[in-house]
Amino acid sequence: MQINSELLDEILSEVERPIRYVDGEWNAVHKRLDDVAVRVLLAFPDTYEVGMSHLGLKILYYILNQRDDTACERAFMPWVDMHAAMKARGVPLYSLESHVPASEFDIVGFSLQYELSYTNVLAMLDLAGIPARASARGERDPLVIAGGPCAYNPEPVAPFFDAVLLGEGEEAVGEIVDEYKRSKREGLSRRATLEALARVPGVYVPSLYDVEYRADGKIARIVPTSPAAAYPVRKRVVKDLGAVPFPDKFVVPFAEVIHDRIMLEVFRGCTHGCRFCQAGMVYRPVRERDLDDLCELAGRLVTNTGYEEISLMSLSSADYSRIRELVSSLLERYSGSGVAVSLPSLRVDSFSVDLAKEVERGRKSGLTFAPEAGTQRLRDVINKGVTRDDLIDAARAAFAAGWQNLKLYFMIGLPTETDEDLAGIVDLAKEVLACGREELRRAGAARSPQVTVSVSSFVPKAHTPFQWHPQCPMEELEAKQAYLKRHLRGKGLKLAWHDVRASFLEAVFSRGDRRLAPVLEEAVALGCRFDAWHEELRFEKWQEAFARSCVDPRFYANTHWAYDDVLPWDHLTAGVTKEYLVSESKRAAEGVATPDCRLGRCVKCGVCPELRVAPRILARPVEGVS
Amino acid sequence: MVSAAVSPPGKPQATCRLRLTKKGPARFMSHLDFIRAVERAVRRAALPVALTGGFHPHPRMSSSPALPVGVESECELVDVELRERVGVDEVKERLEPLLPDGLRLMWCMVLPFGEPPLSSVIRAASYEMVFECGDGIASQDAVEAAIEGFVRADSVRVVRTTPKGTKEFNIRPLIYDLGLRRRDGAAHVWMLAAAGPAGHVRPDDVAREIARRAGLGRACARARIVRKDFYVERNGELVPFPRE
Repeated sequence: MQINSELLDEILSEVERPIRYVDGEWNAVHKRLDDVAVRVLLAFPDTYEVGMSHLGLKILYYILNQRDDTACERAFMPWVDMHAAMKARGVPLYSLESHVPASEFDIVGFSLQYELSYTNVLAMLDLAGIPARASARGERDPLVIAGGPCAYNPEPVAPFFDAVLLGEGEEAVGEIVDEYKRSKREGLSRRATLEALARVPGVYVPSLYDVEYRADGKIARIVPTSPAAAYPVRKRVVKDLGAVPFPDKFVVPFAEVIHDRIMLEVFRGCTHGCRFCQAGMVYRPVRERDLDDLCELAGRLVTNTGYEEISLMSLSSADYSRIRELVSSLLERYSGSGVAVSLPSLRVDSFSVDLAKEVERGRKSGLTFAPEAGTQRLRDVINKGVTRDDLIDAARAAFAAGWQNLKLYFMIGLPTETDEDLAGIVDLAKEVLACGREELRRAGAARSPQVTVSVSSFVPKAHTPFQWHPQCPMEELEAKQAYLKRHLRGKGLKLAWHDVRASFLEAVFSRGDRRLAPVLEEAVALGCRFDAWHEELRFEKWQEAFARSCVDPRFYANTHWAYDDVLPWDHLTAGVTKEYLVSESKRAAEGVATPDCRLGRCVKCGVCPELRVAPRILARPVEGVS
Repeated sequence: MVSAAVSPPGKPQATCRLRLTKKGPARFMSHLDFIRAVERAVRRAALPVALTGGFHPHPRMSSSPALPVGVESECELVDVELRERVGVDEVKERLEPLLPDGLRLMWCMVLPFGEPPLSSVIRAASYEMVFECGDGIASQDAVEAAIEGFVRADSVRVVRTTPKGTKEFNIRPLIYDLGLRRRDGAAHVWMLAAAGPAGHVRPDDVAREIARRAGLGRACARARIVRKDFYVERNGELVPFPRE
């Protein structure tokens, strides 16, 4: 049944940017919900503007709606004012397309992109009138499923989900829908349906596992309690990206969203092997899309969306082995029609600057490099294969090409970090600035260079070589930020930093286990939501929630774990073996770098044999890769 | 490798003038959302749009004055500069099926390039404000009385909040005509007000003021507002925007 449209109109005329709560966007799919066997709601636990910037959502929406037996619709977390208005007037969470309550869908799939969106998941379930705990849901409640990067350690939210999909969804979502349909046809109970789903590769059903704890608070064992429960659950991976659908129609939002452009995914995976980076570990192996496919897809997307920009997406787009050909052919085809090409992620080298120069043409807005650490020693520890010379060369090339604003990303609180490494950040930034002054003076430019240093705090992530490492205590992180604030000032220098309290919560939940679920419930009851939004984070409430639940958050964020500890996510694997992670962790301690496997030598991370896949690289690297 | 030269933007040869509705959920778009939606529809239709020069070329487009969020329209005007002349029928045929919900093409004209911009010819706009009066005659009488008071007043002040603070305006001199029609238990208010060099009247300000003066309850205080037409000046008279 549709929600009351008069009531909704009344609310919409009172809230900020109401356009994000209505339908009618170009390419949105409207099906008669009564005519399909399975109704899926993709729920994104952040605003419309954030959710509609997410490529995964577009891919799944497209694939599910390709099926005649399935209707897939969308819902986002309403912003604070809308949330309050809906609660006050009894309007439940509804789907954008059909304006049908979320509770009337068969499957509600949440995308878990970051830990700080967990409270929004609970707030959305509450607004939908769906019981938060999977164990409290009845036969008529939707199946609530999660996916996305946080699925690699979903334990803090495990009690809220009926099932969790690990890894890539292109093929798995169809299998889940098939299995659901079959269960419904056969009249299976909820429990039997979940067992059937657990047999789909990559699907983790938390209720089919028991977690036992030791007296010291660590985990004793994780035990499957059903023959249907796999141990470990292996992530899903698409062997050939060219063989699965990629949307040639994106929903074109009316509202201005964060990434409001064509997202053309050029490849998946990254094998640079930065030891702090979860994406680099869990999205392996590297699989490049065919050049011709990409060009053809870009053409269809421009025609179908009317977008004015094509963004070449991946974890490091300059790594695409045929990037020059791709950029040239897209520019040749579109530069005359006002469609721009952009590269969102750049490596620290002059090859990348050349590429940026080519796509950005004359509009030199700003360029970002991520050296991540201030000294060569620490960059070797984290396996960031970038040297001071790489950075200075890249910066020089950028200033010489006309850029005046450079942004440098660093992380503080990395394992083994010392004062010297912090001083290294200051030195590098000043060196880059000096090199900018020199280049701009040489070019006779009237404007002066600007270097912005952006520092985030290290967060240990599951399935990375640093998963055993504690996060630096908040007070120390603040002291490090204070040091940088003192030393990175003056003309041409700017510093941006992240709230350490948000990073602390992120660390707690990224290494968390099921005992954090009650904390989340407390936090939501106390009014926490939108924790990733600086102005909405209520840290005192979080402290209260931990206290009320008798959970010490520092156990998760700030303690060192041993290699032989049972980790909360030990029953889940992204294919990268624990042996490899241990070996990388030890190499980090010794400051030994590990090369990129795309250069030819296998680093034995385990992904290919574990998941029976192989890297797919179109051409051997000839330039740019050191 | 492609040379970094920027292709010439293409000198406009013609102006395509579109009259569009903005109805239903589309009324919640901001003016920028609306322009962007038209721009993307025009690109989907692959019309030969002239681009601005420079390194970041944009389609050369302009529009009638902004509509407040939540107000519907039957008369939004958008000028799209074309780098080659295209027939009216072709524009219609290509664009119509590619417009999103709520944006309907009412008519279009293709004019020689060099037409004076919309902003310099539009003087006024007409609006219909419908108050659904639950208790019928009494509320309609109240609305009528409010309008009479409004028309008789020398000054009607509205407060507008901007990022820079609040400002008070006297909108009375900018309202050229205000009248009531009773229909199906609803009060239909018709207004002709400045939308041009003399100033801009926000119809939602006027509707709120009428509701306040009429003492309407919460249920019917919020009017459904539709912009009906734009007006230009011909021989000292305001006439509806010509389709010629």
